[in-house]
Amino acid sequence: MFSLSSKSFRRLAVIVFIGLTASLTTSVVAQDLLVADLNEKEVAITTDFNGADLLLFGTIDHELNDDVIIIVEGPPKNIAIRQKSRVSGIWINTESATLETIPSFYQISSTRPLNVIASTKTLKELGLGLDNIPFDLIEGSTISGDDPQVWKAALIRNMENEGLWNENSDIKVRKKILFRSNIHLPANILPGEYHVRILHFRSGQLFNETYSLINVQKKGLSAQIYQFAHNYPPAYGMFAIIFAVFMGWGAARVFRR
Amino acid sequence: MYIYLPIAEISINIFLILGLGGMVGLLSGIFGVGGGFLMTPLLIFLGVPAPVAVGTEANQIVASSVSGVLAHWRRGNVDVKMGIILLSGGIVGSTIGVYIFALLREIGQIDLAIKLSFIVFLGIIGSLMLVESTRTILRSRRPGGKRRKLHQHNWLHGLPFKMRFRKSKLYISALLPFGVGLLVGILSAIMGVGGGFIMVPAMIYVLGMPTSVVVGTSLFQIIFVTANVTFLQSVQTQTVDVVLAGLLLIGGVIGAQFGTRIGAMLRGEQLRGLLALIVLAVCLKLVWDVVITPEDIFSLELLR
Repeated sequence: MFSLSSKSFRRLAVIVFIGLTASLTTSVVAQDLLVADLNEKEVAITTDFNGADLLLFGTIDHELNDDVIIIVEGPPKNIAIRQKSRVSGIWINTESATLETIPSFYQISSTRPLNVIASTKTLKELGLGLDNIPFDLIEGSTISGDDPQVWKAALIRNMENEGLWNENSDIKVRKKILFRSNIHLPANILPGEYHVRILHFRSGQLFNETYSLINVQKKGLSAQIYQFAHNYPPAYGMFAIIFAVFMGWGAARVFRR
Repeated sequence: MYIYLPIAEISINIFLILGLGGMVGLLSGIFGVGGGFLMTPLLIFLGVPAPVAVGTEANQIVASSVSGVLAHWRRGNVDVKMGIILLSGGIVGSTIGVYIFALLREIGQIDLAIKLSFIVFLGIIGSLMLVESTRTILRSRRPGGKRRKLHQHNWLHGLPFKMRFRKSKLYISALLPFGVGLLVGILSAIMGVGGGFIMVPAMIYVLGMPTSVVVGTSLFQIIFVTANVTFLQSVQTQTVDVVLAGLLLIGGVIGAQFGTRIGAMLRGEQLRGLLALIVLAVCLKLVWDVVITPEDIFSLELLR
């Protein structure tokens, strides 16, 4: 099911790429080459999964003042953010807000720091950088008292501490044509589609772009257990009890002198 | 070596989990408590989501209690009649508890509710046990000290539906163990514990049962109450992780086997004194956690 949509997405990306190439070749001959690929496009969350490291590599025509920005975005989720305050000596969650469709994973890598590559305005328009991730409250949720900026900073800080959000300028360009970047998916990532955008900036403006997709899926025993628990909860509950009784009884037998 | 937990959806060191299970299992075997009062907070410290820690712990306690009760059963230390009255209260109580848990989770106060419940109950029970066991130890060292009565009589013994419990040498109202079972059942579901640390002192001090049958009977009824919690949490919240539970109990049952033997060598009052100290230590740690200024006053929760 997924491989179909992945293929069609790739096909779409190729069409977009060819379209861009065609429109630009007329003015800038052979100056717009941007090809990128990943060493792996499928990440399986199996029983021994402990994060994954992928390598994204590609070629561009790199000139002075050229930059590459790579954005990897995980499946969007709603996030509850809670603020504690001291009530008669103990720390209690007193304020809370719920945010809509926040990327559960966001890594942005670039050749130079983002604010050096482009103006604040451009970055904002294209939604680049941790500061420019949309911060939308779901209907009925409000932030009272505090400045929303404090809450936004708290969101970024917490996601960074979890290793789920990351902004770095670690992309290396070799011989003015080859670039490579590491994508680190930590162990606590959610399964789903991870969209990869590769942007080519020239003199502070978006010049060319291409896409890729990483598919993160639960596989093997852990996937089966998850499916069982969520599709047949009563049967799973009974199984869990029988399993526990059997294990406990078995252990007692083994240790009986 | 890392293992990915399918329901908790985190990756964790397998030896850390086995070691944790073994350590808590040892204590569980010595004292006849499920060990959940230690395991649940420790799992949360390791990064397991609180609801998964609670649901999974219930499942693991089923296994460790089955394993633990067999040794007591062989020695004839289980009062089945008392156990059945306790667990019928426990089933009703834990069902109520699972619903309260879901409600607290919805309003975002479950973490605090769990911690405060632990602080209150561990604090009260730990102090009472420490005082009592210290007194008994001191008295036994003085020759000629007066012997304690089998149990004290008070208004609780005037309740109706009196029943004879031969093994416990008691003739008391059935409402008493039913009520104890009910209250412990509610707490058991909310706190992700078997409730042994409340049940054991309640059996000794409220019901007046002899210490010899307390541990076996407590383990016996815990099996059924935690099985009920496991089932309800599986159906309601899908937070029971059998892989995590399996690993914890592999460590746990091994620990419990040694624990049961150590427990048989210690005297009752020494056992209670030692348990009191552990209970108070966990209590103080939790007090510390809610009182000190948190590193970050903001926290996140990914909603499914």
